[in-house]
This record gives sequence, structure tokens and C-alpha cells, in this order.
Amino acid sequence: MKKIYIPFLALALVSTGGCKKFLEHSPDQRTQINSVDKVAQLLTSAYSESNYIAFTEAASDNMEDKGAEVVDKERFVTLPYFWQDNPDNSQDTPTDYWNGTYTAIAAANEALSAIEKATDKTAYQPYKGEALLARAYAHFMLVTLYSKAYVAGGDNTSPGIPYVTTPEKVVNGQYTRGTVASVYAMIEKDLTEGLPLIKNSAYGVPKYHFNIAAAHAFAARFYLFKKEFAKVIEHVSAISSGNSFAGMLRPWSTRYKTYSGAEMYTNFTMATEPSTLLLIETSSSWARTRTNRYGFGQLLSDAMFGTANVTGKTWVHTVYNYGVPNYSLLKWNEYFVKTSQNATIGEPYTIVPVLTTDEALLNRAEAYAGLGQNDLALQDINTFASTRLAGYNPVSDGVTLTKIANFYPGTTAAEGVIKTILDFKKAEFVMEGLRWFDILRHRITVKHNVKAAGDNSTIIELKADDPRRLFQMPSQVELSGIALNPR
Amino acid sequence: MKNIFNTGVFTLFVLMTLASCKKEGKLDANLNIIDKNIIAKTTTDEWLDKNYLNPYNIETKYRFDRFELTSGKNITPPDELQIIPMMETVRDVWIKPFETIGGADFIKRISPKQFVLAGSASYNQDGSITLGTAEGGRKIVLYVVNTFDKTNLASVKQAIQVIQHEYTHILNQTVDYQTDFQTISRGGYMGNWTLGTLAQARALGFITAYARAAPEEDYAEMSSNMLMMGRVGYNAAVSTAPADAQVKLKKKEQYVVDYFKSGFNIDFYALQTEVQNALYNISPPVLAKLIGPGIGYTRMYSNPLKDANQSPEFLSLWKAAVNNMTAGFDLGLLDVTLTFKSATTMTLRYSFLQDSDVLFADADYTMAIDAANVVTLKLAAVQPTTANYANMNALNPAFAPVNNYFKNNKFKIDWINKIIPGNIGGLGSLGAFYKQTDEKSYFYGAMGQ
Repeated sequence: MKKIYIPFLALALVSTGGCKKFLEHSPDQRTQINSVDKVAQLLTSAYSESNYIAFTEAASDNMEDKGAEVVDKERFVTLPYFWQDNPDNSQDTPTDYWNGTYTAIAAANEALSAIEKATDKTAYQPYKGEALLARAYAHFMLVTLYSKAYVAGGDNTSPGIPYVTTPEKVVNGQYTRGTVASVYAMIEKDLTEGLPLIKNSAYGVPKYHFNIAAAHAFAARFYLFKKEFAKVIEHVSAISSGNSFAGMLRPWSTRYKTYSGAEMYTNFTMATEPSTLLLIETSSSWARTRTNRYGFGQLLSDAMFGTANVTGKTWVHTVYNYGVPNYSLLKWNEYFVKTSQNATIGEPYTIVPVLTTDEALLNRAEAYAGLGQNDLALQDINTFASTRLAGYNPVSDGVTLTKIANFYPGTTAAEGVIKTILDFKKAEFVMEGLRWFDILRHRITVKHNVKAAGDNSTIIELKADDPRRLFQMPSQVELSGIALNPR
Repeated sequence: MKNIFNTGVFTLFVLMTLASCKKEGKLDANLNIIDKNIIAKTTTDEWLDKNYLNPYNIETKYRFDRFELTSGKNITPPDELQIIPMMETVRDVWIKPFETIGGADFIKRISPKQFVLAGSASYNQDGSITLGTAEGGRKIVLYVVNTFDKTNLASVKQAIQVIQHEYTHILNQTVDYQTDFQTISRGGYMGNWTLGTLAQARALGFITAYARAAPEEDYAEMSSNMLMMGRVGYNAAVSTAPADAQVKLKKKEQYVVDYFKSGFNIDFYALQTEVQNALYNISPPVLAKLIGPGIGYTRMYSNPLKDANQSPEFLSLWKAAVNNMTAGFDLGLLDVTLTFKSATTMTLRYSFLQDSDVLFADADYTMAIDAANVVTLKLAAVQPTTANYANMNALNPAFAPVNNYFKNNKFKIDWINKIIPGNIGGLGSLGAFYKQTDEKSYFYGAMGQ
């Protein structure tokens, strides 16, 4: 017994001695988020790498059925065009956007928890701001797309989406959706806490991060949904302190007009565009979705870019085609990432300017109109129009209440101004997916044509309270105790 | 054990395979029984074989095959009786000029290998119609065959213009065109081109409204229109555009000419003349209808002493004027130029030598051309008072024989190719004013712009 016991004990001692060094190392090579630099780098992942444009655009009235002569039919466009759920989890689907956005939220939460653990938090502050803004933006996009639209003055007790504030440490953690109101409260909390902390100097390329202007633009979009118009105006005004928006809008009538097609799509998504406030790189084949049967076709092209708008002139935007009736404004440039150096396969990416000065300015116009300040609303509308009409002359081309009354008969001045803004946005942001947000906010009925043989169109409608206005979440969320949207 | 077993199976398998290879069967089945699509050749087929398949290896598919045409469109089959007239014209107006200028093998080397014919047009949602398409440098689809009329110049021009357009695409797909071509009219391109007018297009330096659709369409429109309009027609069209647009159009013309030279060693202007000559076989150009700025010719130049074939009457009058000038004024009469300033006004200019200086004497005429192409010239009541016009007043006694010839006669305007064989309809082609009462008396000169 003893003979055996002693060597065993000795062996045990030797072994523990050896273990000590071994255990000092991490069991794997995982990064410890323990420096400002690492937090900053982690936050580059706090922006959803998924793209919402294909399904928000397809669900909106900025797409039409071009008819059977166009043979391409992508499921990720066709299904939302008919307001049907898409069970796929590939690029450009609601499922992908949900997953990608929660991945981004996870990165933001990981960064925030690392900042929480740091002893000296001073240097982390700008990144705390960025993480909070990124988290707020991500949840805002989710609640807008997957829950009922916020009704200002309503109780908003319909289910929201899980507002996640801590990193998930377990598999299939259980969550609740809360209400739209509670999600909005959380967004506002993150937004108001994060915005003052943001510093543009903290970023290498500020336009790929929540810089100050981008944060204000997001805040404006958020408060516009809440109809807190004074705050919208305050935030938009903060983007350009001297109210010099004209130079910060997309120069359609000047620089863009001189571009060739290739220059157009190269420049549209560049960080150097003064209009761009926040760029997000997304894994998406949207840039190559040019000749889909459902898309920007003849009717829409003629209606928005072939006929005079309320100014009395036609928009100056150059409309291109990939063979009639596949029209395009050539906004999108595909960035194809090959799987390896010598590969011939890879993944398509599209850089998306998710927040722009153009949208912000029109949001402010809408806020002014909401407050009954039509003069100020018209000022913003005309600043916008001045960069989009050939040879803009403020006297003859400017939008006035008289012109609005003539162009939109049977509306009050306030309604007319709103209609003007919405029509301007519809054309301006075609193929950018932003029309859907206006449709939600203003409870607009969406009409889609469906062409049968002989090109006879029938119209299908999506009314304001249709449950299909909520995109469906991935079915896997049920594992986390979340109910899917009713159908 | 297992290894052996596996090997055993493998061997067996190999043996079986080899055994089955051994069998041989006769492969002389009569496929004609199976393939019910074999159609006996008609005279149309034989004609196409003789004129297209055998010499050029080009298939002409006219029997309706829905899969050759854009899906989702209503397109009718072509009328069989239209096939030969159509393809005859295609051969004469499109292929032959390229053979003449580019060499006998040119079309054989670079050509679409298939023509697909459709009876109707293909109607587009933007209100335009597609007259033809080119695919992959190999196939050209030609629409509206059923309304084609080989004796009607407009119909022929429309059909061949499409082929020239599509063929330019094929040439561009063989040798790429100059990349900076697209920068000439940058900003003017628009996909919804049907919303723009021809006048707007011309003002931006585009030859047609369709040219605005995209740079490659611009290129094809430039080349095809230059060929089909001819140099005179093209220049006339360009001359009506604003000055900056004229610069662009001239620049584009140069690009196309250079491209044909460097890419295919083709003299574009010679090709243009050949194509025009082919069109003249269908309908010869009428000189009287080609006079005036924006229409065609703006100048007619003659040096009667050097022109060998001026009519005796005119030549004697001219010689009288020359003598009058020498004897009366000690001036040397050189030549005469008629400048057509509009469809109804003309300036007559004599140039003459004073010592070694070339001076001019001008007079304005009104010009009325009637339906029978007979022109009446009248001295305009009001003449400008500049030096050149003053010269005419001062020298009128000397010029009187010639001036009176113009003023006192009516002239039929026509080419002179029946007297002096030569090219008609081109730059420098010879045109004549024949005295209405006596065809043997005429005055001729080189038509210019």
C-alpha cells in the first residue's frame, strides 16, 4: 500500500506543478476585449451586415410588375412584392436582416460590457457613445420592420422586439418582445445617453461610424416616428450649424449630371459624398438585382422621372436602363469579395448610405409641416429641389402653397406640403428602400400591380392595418420564447 | 477477408464491364423517321442557301421559332413572300458595300452567323418599338419584315439602318471602340430616352434620340446613321445643331472614322459612298430636293474655264465676261460660286484677281424651285451695301452676259452624270442647271457644303 501511495502522491505533486503554467494561458486564442483600441475595433461589427433594401423596397410602392417579358424572378424580391413570408435565410431576406442585426447588437453589448469592466472609463467614452447609438439604431430598425408601426399618442402596447442589452452567454436564451412603447423608451434612453459622448475624432473613417451628424440624423428619423417635431428640427439643424444644407445634398443637377453610368455608381456610395452621413457595408446581392420582373419599371420611371412634379419641372436625375423596362438610377456598386486570392467565387457586398443629409432635410421639412410652419417647410423643400432641377430658378421653380394646391387638388395646405415631401422622398430614394418607412409612418395603403397574360393588370392592396405589414421573424426565434408575428 | 472480398467484387465488375464493351451494334438508324422537323426545301430556302448559306455561312431563319425571340411579347411570323425581297436588299445594301470596301472576306470573317426574321415589330413598354437586336456577335433578329417594301426608300433605309446599327454592335464586340467616346456627351445619356425629342438630342450632340440610351447605342447610332444618311445628309443634319453640339457630333464622327480605319482598315467615307450608291439604285437622289442649309448642299462651285464640259452657250458667255473684265477693268475673272443661304435665297459670287489679291463680287437672288425641279432666279430687290455687293454693281457691265443668263432663264436642276459620268449624291458630285427651253445649254459645278 505504502509503496504505491508515495509514488502516486509524488506524481500528483509533479503534475500540479506543471499545470500551473499551463493554466495561466487561455484555453483558446480568443481576444480579450481589454483595451480602448480593441473596443473600437469590435464596434466596427456593431452595424448590421445585412441589407433591408430588397424587401422594404419590394413591399413598398416603389416597385411594379414589369410583366412576363422580364424573366428574372428573385425570391427575395418576389415574395415581399406579394407580401408573403420568406422562409429563406439567405442574403437580402427579413430573416437575414434579423440575424445580422442581432449580431451587430451583440457586438455593441460586448463592447459595452468591456467598457463597464474597465477601471478608467474616460478614454472609452466616445466608443460607449458609438455602441449605444449602434444598439439604438439596430433596435429601431428591427422594431420598425418586425413590429407594428409606432402610433404617436397611441398606447403602442403591441409586441415590440427583444431589446437586448447584455451579451448572450447561454444557448437559446429566453427573451420577451416587450411592447412597441417599451422598445421606443429603450431606444430613446440609449440615444440620449450615447449622443453627447460621440466624438468624430475617435474614428478612422467617421462615415463608417456613428459620427455626430449621423447620430443627429438617426435621432431625427426616430423622433419623426414619435411625432416629436421640435426634437426633429433640433437634431436636423445640428447637422449643419449654418443651415447650409444646399452644399450637403446630392448634386444631381450639377456634378451627378456630368457623370457617366460607371462614375455614377462608383461615387454614389463613396464616403466622400457630402450627403452621406452613415455608411454600412452589407452582404447583399441588391446591386446586381437589375433585371428583376418586380422592380423599378416603366410605370414608375415615367411617373417619377418622366412627368413634371409639383415644381412644374421634371427631376433631373439620369435614368438608365438595362434594356427597357428595367430601369435604374445606378446607385449601387457591387463589391465582390472573393473567397480567396485565386478564387473565382465569392460573396457580393453593397455599401449602403443608410443615413443621408437629403433624408434628414426632408424629415425636418415634415417636422415643420407637422408644427404648421409651412413657410419653413417650403424653405427646406426648395433647398432640396434646388439641387434636383435643371437650371433651378427660385422664382419660377420654387414650390409654393399655390403650386401645391394646384398639383394636389382637394388637400389642405398642411396635407399638400406633406404630400409634396412624401412624393419627393419616394422619387429621391427609389431603390434605397426608404419609402417603406414613410408608408409605415403615414399609414399609406400600398398598391401593387400584377400582370397576367396579355399584360392586363390587377391591383393588390396592403392596407394600413394589414398584419402583413410586419415582416416575419425567423422561425427559430420561437426557441427563445418569442411568438412569431400573426398571419 | 474484407480486402479480398472487395477485390473480388471489383474484378467481377471490371469483367462485366469489359464483356459489355464487346458487343457491337449497327448505328445506321434512319433518323429521318424520328426527326419530324425535317422540311423539304422550298425555293425560298434554296435562294437563301445560294445567296447566304453557301457564300457567307449565314443562316436565315424565317420559320417561326418562339424561342429565338424575346419572351413575353406578341410577335408574328414573317410572310414567306417577303423573305427574298428583304434578304436581297440586305445583301445589296449591307453586304456588298462592306465587300467592296473591306475586301471579299470581310463579311465572311466578321458577320452575324444567323438572321432571324419576324413579321411584326417588338413593342416596348416605353412606347418605342424594337426593329432589331444583336446577340453575342452572332445573331441578328430583324423585325417588321411584313411591312418591308424594297422599292420604298424609307422602308429600305429603316431596315438596313437596323442592320448597320446591330452590325456596329457586332464590330464593337469584335474590336472594342475607344473608351473615351462616352465622355464626349457625358451627362446626356438617359435610359428613358423616349421622353426626349430629336431636337433635344441634337442639341446635346446626339444624332438621334435613341443615341442617348447608352454610349454603345450612341456609337451604333452614329455609325449607322452616317452610313444611311450619307455624308451630305449627315453634314446637313449636323449643321442645324447648336455650335457646341456640332463640335461633339464632328468629334464623334472622327472617332467612328478612326475606329473603322484602325480596327478594320476600312475607309469609312468610301463605305458611306458605297452604301449611298446602293440606296440610289432603289431611288436616285433628286438634286433639286437636296438644296439648302439643313437639307443638303449649300454650295455650287464652278471654274468654267477649267471645266471641260460646260455647255457651249454658257462657256461663250463666260468667256465674254472674262474678256470684259480684262479689257474694261484689268481684272482677272476666276470662278463662280452659288451659295444657297436658305431654301429660297441664293448668293451669286464671282471671284477675280486684282494684281495678286482675290476679290469678290456678290449679288443676292431669290430662288423658287417648283415641283418639276425647275428653278427661277430673281435678283433680290434689296441688296446689302457691303464691299462685295458694291463690287458687283461696279463690275456689272462686265458680268452682264453671265448675269443675264441666270436672270433671264428658268433652269431644271439635276445631276450631270448623263453627260459626265460620275458619282451622284456625294460631296463634290457634279450638279447642273439646265436651261428649261434648251437642255443642251447648261451650267454645272461641284456641289458642296
